Amino acid sequence: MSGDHLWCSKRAGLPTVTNSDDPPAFDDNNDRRSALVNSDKIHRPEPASGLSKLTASEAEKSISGNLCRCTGYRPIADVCKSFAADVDMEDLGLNSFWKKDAKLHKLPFYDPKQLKLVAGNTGTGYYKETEYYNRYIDLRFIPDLSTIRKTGSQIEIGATVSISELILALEEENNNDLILGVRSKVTILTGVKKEILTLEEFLEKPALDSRHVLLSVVIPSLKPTENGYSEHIKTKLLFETYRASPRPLGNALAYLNAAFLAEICNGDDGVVINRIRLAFGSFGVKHAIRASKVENYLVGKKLSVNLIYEAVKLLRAAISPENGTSHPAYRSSLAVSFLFDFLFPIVDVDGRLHTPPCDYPGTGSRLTNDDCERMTLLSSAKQLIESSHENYPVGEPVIKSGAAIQASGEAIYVDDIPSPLGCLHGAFIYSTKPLARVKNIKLKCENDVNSIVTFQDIPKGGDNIGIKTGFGPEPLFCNELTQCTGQAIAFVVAETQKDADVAADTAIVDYDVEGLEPPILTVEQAVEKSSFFEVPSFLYPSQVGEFSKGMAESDHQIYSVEIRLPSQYYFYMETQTTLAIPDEDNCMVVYSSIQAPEYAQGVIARCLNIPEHNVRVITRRVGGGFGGKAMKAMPVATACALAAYKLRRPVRTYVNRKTDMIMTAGRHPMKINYTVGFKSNGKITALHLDILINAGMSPDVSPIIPWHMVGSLKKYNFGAFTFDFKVCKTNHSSKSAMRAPGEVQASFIAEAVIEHVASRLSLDVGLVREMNFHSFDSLKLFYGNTAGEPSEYTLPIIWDKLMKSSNFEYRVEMINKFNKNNIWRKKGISRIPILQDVSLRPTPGKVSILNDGSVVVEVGGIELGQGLWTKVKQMTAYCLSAVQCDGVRGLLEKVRVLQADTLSMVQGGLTAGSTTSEASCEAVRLCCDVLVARLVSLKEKVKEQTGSVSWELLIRHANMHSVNLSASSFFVPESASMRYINYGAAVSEVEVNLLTGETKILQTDIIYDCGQSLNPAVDLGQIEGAFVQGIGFFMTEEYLTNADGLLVADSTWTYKIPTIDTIPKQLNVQILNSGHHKNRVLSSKASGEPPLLLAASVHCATRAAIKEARNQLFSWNGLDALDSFFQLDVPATMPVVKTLCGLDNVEFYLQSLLSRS
Amino acid sequence: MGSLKNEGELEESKDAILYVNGVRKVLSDGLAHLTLLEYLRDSGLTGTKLGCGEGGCGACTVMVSYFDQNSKKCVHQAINACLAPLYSVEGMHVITVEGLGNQKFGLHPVQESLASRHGSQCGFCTPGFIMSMYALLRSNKTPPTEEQIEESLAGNLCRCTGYRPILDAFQVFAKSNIYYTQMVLSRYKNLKTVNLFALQLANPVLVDPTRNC
Ligand code: FES
Ligand code: FES
Repeated sequence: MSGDHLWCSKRAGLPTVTNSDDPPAFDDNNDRRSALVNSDKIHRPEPASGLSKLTASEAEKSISGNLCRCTGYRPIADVCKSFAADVDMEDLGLNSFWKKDAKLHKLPFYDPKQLKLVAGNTGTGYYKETEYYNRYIDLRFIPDLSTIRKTGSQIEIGATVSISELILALEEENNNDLILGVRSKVTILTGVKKEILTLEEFLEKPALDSRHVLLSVVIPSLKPTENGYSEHIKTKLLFETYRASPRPLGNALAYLNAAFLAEICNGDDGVVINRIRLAFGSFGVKHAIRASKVENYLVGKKLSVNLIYEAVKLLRAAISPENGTSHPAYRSSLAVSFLFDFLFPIVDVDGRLHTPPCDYPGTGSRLTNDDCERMTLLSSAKQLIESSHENYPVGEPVIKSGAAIQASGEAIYVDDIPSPLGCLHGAFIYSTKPLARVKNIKLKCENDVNSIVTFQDIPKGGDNIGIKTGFGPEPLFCNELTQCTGQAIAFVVAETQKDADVAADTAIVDYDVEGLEPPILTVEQAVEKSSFFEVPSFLYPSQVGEFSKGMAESDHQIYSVEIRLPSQYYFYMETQTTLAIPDEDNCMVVYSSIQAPEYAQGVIARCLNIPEHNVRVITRRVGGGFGGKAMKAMPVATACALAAYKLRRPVRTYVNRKTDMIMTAGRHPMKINYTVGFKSNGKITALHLDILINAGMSPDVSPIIPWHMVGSLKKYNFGAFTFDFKVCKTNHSSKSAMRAPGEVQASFIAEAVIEHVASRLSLDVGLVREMNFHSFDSLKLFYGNTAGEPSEYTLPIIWDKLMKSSNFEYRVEMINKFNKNNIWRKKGISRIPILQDVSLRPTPGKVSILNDGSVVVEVGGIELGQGLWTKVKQMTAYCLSAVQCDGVRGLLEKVRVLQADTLSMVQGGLTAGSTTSEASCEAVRLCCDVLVARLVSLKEKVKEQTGSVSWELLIRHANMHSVNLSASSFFVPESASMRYINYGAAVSEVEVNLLTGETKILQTDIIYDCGQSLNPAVDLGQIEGAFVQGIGFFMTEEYLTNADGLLVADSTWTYKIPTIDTIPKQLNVQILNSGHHKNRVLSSKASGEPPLLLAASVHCATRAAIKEARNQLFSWNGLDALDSFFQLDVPATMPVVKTLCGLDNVEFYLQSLLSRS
Repeated sequence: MGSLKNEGELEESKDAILYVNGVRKVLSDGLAHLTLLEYLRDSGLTGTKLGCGEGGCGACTVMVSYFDQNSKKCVHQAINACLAPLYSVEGMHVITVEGLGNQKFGLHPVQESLASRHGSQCGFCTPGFIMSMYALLRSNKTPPTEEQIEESLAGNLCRCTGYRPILDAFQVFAKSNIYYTQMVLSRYKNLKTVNLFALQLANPVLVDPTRNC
């Protein structure tokens, strides 16, 4: 990737170095404007047509990663650039795949349209290629370019040396004599001429054209005593690099990078800055810059608080990101923070040396460095599971079915199925306008396209239908009128997936908005126009008590406070995919990665106008669903089926990530207003909520969201609890159910209200929570029958247990101490409870025993990774073992669960809502009971004859006696007990960096009630996985759209799900076995979704830490911190946190010091 | 398919070659538009997954090994196959998840550890994690530290597990864990492909990129 500013890690014990991209440069000539190398200048002569991304905003240039992982060998200067074409390839000795005899002087001029020079080709990760080159020239094996040459006084780094190689080389160097970037020189090849330039000269040159190649960067060593800078013994060199990015280790764009180099002199009356270089990059400008004004201001001056204060003020003005850069004020404040961090530790308040200046090279941030920075996750997780063995093998932590073939890569996902003969590939063209007429679609590469499928290809009698739910259909393609961004306009079909993708990506759609009303893009506009989806009355949740009465009882009131919650994308690792194969007699076989094959079957049949029995939808496994493959997989399957039907050829698609993100959308965004009345002791007496849910263009399952929300909102006893929901119909992509749909938002809203009440009363928020806990009676009042038996209300037990197991009180004390002793880091801790009610749905099952005693099982539920098959296998083995013959303990190995097939098992329904595993288990149990009943009497007979009966023998006899060895069932839950509540609680502790806004999750402790877990290992995986997905929602995943509602955070580069380095440093989970639950499936409870809600604890802890920061800020300002309530946005990303901590907290701090002295 | 022993044949060959899991492959002309990932999946090695196609998820991680002329050493690297142009790995040895082990011949310790410690749910990220870990083990002469493990996995995304079980599964390979040596020693010899690979490494001339000059 060119143009990066790659700073090396401060973690992991690497020496702090910069790569040649951004070295701050000392120069003899002080006023000569120097800046950082921006390799973009070199590598991107002019963007070839169709590659407009190449010149995209500065942020793109800062793709970071301390060690680039893209192809592992990201070159120092990724020479993604082109030369001219009039050269015979063979002449070069550089033929694109022969690296034979590569010689630098043979590099030709090329036509960028024909050729591409690569050195790892990592650039395509960000700068997507929409045109493909026929030839690539790999520069990595040209010795001149690929070596690091060290001589006594300098180090020369070839342009294709990878970052990791450089780091290794520098680690070897490790003698403290080397300061990188000092007086660096750049060598460029122009035609046959080599040119050596200083960085400054280099940057002043206009962007290089295609005749230039960057060859190397030369960095001289710098010893303070030898190089003429520092005769004075008291002179010290300081060097430091900084980087702020959403992920400490993983791939992420930085918000800002900085590198500082200073020569200071410890004189008699203080520290004087002799020279200083301040370099900043990747904050939203074309190339990195030097803050020369600030430098000039500082040079020759005595370091003091005042000096720093003036310098940071100058700096803030100097760092101004270009228009359109996200979070500009935040980025400037980072520059201020870093300079402060660099200079402040050198002085004390009196302007004296604080500590002896550190030796160079620097060691990272001084003010916010952890004492015990690196605690790895590896050694710091605890899991406690209480399992019971009475239902063996149910309850055992059996290894997930299929784990071995997943680990060996043998597991077959839809896209792994070999293409049948003549198979074509499809890709969606989607709308980029929210409301417009589609006049025309023009394909740029018509030749590569086989066909283009639109609504006009739907056969006679068939419907334009892509999704069907109980609330209404969604069209497969837009007709003339597109109703949201991301709506499918057409499906391009080509010989390869790549051809189809490129054709779809480069297609030009002509829109026309003339005479159309403006689109509805906000919930407010929807309210104005009364654009709502109806919530059927039986799904409208019931309210509790009388609001006015509750308000009358209250001592305090908070009126109409607004919260906004954003969307979240599913981000399953396997994107949407389907393979549709036409079969004889007007039939269609569809392999789909879907949570609801039965629904897809119905939709396809309706679209093609064929009977459902002609449509066989097969789903073996799904590479992650999270709700995104429930409804949203249907249009993908249907489009393939329609194309296959039209072309009479197999058609498959594997939707690319960007299209998937834009078309599939995600969780419901919403706007909430709360009004709450409460007593002085924190007891809430009335709560009213007005909630506007942005459902998008079609109903999908949105009308059920209020129901889901209220189930989790009622986790506290609010006294009177009333609400008004509006499910808004807008011109956004339709939102669907994502894991814990509505529940996660609801649980958060309840906590936000509690936090507000506590803040208003200046009470400990934990006390306010407890004050509003349900008694069993109030639980009954709020939840009715769903509350179950008093013994099932385990939340109070969990709450107390967690207090002890997490050492809560002690840690609160430690945190208080920590916060007193640390100015720039604050910790927060939070303990929250969750309640989520779930509901079982009818589910079919079928169990058959084959001649050799092996067992085959079919269930309605789909294996999404949630371990459904594993639990089903365990249940089958357990239930069949009731026959009580020899060897039944080995039954588990004999059970195989089959892929879902809509013609083999009907009424399969939908795998969602956390309960499909247990429902499928129950269905299987019904089958097994029938089989056992058929076998038991036979077994007794055989036993009489032979003395002992093995399972195999019994089955042989059963066959001889023509016993029916197959049983099917349809489990229909009883309405009185189909719903139940899940309980859990979590404590999270975080640390916020007040200079950067970074939040580190130090520790999370979870206790979750699984009843008697069917498989504690599987449930543990669900708890941890859901929790981390929740962290994504609350902390990292920014769902950014443009003004039209089109998702712009549409790639792994811009949409940040949690990675290994952003999850809790320590994660302790305990699965509580709460014993017998008579209405549950073998006393088990669900685990798929509710633990996601627990992630709100991280958000609340962050809020607590920010509160500390704000109190401190207010004290600097001389203000009273009381009742300084603030809302912390979701997700609480670095800019959000920093903004609340004070974008100018550094200045305020310095001011307070100044006014004190 | 050429065997590894067939050196004489290699000497004369003018073809571009590539080793995949110990098997010699001849690359025809005109494949410059292919990424390594497309090539692998098209040739039936579908264990390597496509998650993003932009270097951001690690699902396509494979290991490449080659003889580095500069350092005169065999180099093993985890790379994202979705970004690597096919020809860029010419003359190298590509190891995919299929090359480590399988059900029939036994799983590699890295695979087995992940499977048995519940490190896979939907399993789509699993091959990528395995290859990142495997490449780390191969490129380190000594068992890696826990920090190195964590760092080597920082570019792999998993949406299901929350990472903890994956890290746990790989902890057995960390320096601090003696289990590592035992397991590796006891399992390595049973693996056909790994043996092939060992042979390959003992004879680095085969993966010397300048071989065909
Ligand atoms: S597919 Fe995501 S990194 Fe290659
Ligand atoms: S197991 Fe599903 S993404 Fe990792």
